Amino acid sequence: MSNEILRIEDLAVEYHTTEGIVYAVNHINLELNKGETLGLVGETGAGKTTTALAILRLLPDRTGRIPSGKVFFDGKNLLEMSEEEMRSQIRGEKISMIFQDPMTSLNPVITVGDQIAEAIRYHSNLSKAEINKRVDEVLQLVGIPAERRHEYPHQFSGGMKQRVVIAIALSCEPDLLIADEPTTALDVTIQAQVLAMMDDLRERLGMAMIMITHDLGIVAQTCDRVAVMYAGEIIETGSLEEIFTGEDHHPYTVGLFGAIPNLEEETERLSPIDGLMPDPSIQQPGCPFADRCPKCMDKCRDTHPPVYETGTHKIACFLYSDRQEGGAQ
Amino acid sequence: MLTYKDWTRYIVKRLLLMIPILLGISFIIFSIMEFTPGDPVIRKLGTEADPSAYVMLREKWNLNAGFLERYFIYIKNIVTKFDFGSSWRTDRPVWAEIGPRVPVSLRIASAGIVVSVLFGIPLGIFSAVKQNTVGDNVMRVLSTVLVAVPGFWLGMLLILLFALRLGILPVSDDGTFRSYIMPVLVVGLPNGCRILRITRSTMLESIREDYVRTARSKGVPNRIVTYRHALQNALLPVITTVGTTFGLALGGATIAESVFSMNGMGSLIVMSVRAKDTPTVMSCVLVMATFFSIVMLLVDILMAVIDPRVKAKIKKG
Amino acid sequence: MAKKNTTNQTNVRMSPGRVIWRRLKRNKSAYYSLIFLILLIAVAILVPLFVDEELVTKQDLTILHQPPSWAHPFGTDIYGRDIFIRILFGARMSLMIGIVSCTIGTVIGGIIGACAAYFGGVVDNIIMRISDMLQGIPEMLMSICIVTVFGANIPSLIIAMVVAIIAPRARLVRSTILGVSGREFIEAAKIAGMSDFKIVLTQMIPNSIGPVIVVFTQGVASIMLTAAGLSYLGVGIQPPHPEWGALIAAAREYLRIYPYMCVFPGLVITVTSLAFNLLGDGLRDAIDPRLKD
Repeated sequence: MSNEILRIEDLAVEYHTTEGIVYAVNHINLELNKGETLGLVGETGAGKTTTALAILRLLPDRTGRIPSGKVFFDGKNLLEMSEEEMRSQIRGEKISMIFQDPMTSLNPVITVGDQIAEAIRYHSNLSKAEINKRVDEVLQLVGIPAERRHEYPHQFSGGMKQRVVIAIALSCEPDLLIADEPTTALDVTIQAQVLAMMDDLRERLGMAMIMITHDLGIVAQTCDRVAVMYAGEIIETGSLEEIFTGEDHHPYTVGLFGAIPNLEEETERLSPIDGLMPDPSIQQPGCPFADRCPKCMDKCRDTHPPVYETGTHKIACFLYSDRQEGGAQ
Repeated sequence: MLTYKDWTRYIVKRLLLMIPILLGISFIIFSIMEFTPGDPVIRKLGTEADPSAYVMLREKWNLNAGFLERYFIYIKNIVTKFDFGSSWRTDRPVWAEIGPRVPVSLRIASAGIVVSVLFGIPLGIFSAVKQNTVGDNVMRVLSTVLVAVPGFWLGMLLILLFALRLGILPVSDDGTFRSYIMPVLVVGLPNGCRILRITRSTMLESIREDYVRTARSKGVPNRIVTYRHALQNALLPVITTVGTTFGLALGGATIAESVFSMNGMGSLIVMSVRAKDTPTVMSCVLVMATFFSIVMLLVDILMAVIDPRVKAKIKKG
Repeated sequence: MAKKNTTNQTNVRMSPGRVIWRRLKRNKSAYYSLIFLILLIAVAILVPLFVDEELVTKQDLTILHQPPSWAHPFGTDIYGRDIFIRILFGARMSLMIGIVSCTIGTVIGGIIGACAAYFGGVVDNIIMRISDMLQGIPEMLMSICIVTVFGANIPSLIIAMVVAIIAPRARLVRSTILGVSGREFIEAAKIAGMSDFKIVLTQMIPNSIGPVIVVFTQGVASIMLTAAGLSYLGVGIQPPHPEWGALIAAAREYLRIYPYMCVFPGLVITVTSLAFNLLGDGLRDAIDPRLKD
């Protein structure tokens, strides 16, 4: 366990809106080791971003609630820390996050250099000159000429903006980087560049990373382990090989992979998964995938499937009930 | 960064743009006044006067020339000689009537705007940051009510309370600055609430922006997030609104002058309307519209100073 | 028992109108404002049937300047006229001016704004420049100009109010339409082969109408206040018409001795204008609730 940097236990997140309660995340468990990259995969609305925000306790004040769970980072439960401790020790310093849309993630009226400097200023006692030096270093790290520090975000292209965002996130050399769909808003060619850069930086700094994405291609390129999320629950986790090439999978995972068009085969139609994700404002008693699952059994609707594991490969499905039960659910 | 040359180029350009707008405004006002029914000469001299008197007056007031010709003469006189014509009511030059009254109206309108900004922006920020708390709800109720209150009624209530019952403020102009207090409040409070509401709403929007989330995820202290990130962006539309509110303040000052018997342009306008003294009404409105345009120009320049995106557009020319 | 997905999607079948109505009902202040306004308008329309209109102007020297009492809830004025009744009849004028002017102004301004958005180019430019010039004249002053010319009577007041709001409305409608027409669902409709006319009718108008309705309610309130202001100044509705502003003007002389003459009409103006504003706020929240949380 000393190699573990993040351990999420039984985390649940709810949004209390005027139109009702939304159960966004339902009792999930996750582990991440130092230096490892975990891919958090799932459709839009599965709860991936909510999970990330919950780790950093950045849920919207008015509506977000964490009714249960523990988030252990380096041994300490983040959910029990005070807001000031979170702000001064964790956010930006030990755990950083980058968001999906670089267009809106940067403040339009503050220079790029100042925005990076801000990240450093509140986590260190460096002098102004030292901070400026560090800003230049970080800009260089992401491949932006240091003179551009006086420019404003609107003067950068999309890919460059995202590099700035990454520069901000890495400026204090965090132990964990959470990347929420960092390349979704970028062109494919820029995507490749940015991913390569992130991978390189991650190795150099020895960071752990949670890569949130719905793109399995990116997962294959960058991740060591994968967790598949559906309707607020983690229905399968495993190493990259186990998820991509293994034999046994959760029916949803099968559907996900099956929905990818195959370059080599000729097909008439794509094979998407029938139906829609269940309404998150209603708590399902059984498996969340029950209504769409081709292999659904009666008990899938009534009882929530526990997690069955073979080594590091965990699947939350009754199809594998002959295996060992593990993990709290 | 913009150089002096960039700035002068921008300001000159905006000033030049202001001219056609002012011309247009004057044209509109002039055209409206054209519809005034009745013959001003007859109204002045009555129906029994000597025929030659009519002819002379018509000449003097240029009433024989065509519409456009009269308009051009009017503008030319204003621009070259500051001659706004003569008041049909008093026969004195219009500018002699308006001139001494300009400072009074400007004082009320400007002080009113200052009050509304000092009142509205801080309370709007407070309301947004403490959304849905008791403080916020009180602010919201108060501001919603004050915006609905008619200015003249508010003025009379203030007179009732402070002048008649408590006796600490004068009912009308007594030569000291104390006579300005209530008129300024009448202009400043309702407009202040307008500014409060818009500040609150832009702050609320701003707080929800992605870059605020980025700032929080960097570990920036909440106070800095609010003031440096959310507020700076929220203030941009607020500043524009303050500019347009100056127009409302001018209208409010007109009413306040009436309630508190102050000798500003507003009360002159009211007197002139009743007497159907078209040149005076026209000129007063023109003067006020000019001040309004100047204020809007200042707002534009201020935006250019604060918002780097505007600066970028200026640089491009 | 497990539930099927289809029963969970409760809101899919409800029309947008009903959804908005439901949200509006939940907003207490907006809901009660709406009820109050409906009652007020009903009273304004029906009052001549129940109350003798003569009472508005008939002087009764026996009950001069009485303070509020059961017989005369708002007191009587210096001519012995019941203030409550005068206010009721004044409601007819104020509401009529407010609603009529706002409707005409919104329709005309809306058409102009729509043309500017639709034709674009030179037409748009011209319309926008003219509207800049019109808006360079503060609203109250513009109204005073018009009233100077056409006299202090109801039609002239209505014209003045209409002229004052045409430019802002045109601008609003233009920017709303431009905002909507740039959105993808319009493109999608075009690609699907919808005729331009049908697009305008079924896609653009329903999506643009929200802000216009909200601004309409606030416009009525603002017009009522401006009209009252003009009457107060003596350049609007003249006595003995019981327009609310004129009532307050008449009360000025007697502010010290008969304050109730001033207080009640002003209170009524405030409450009515407040109701319109609250309704507008509620409508805005109901149409676009994202802004609330």
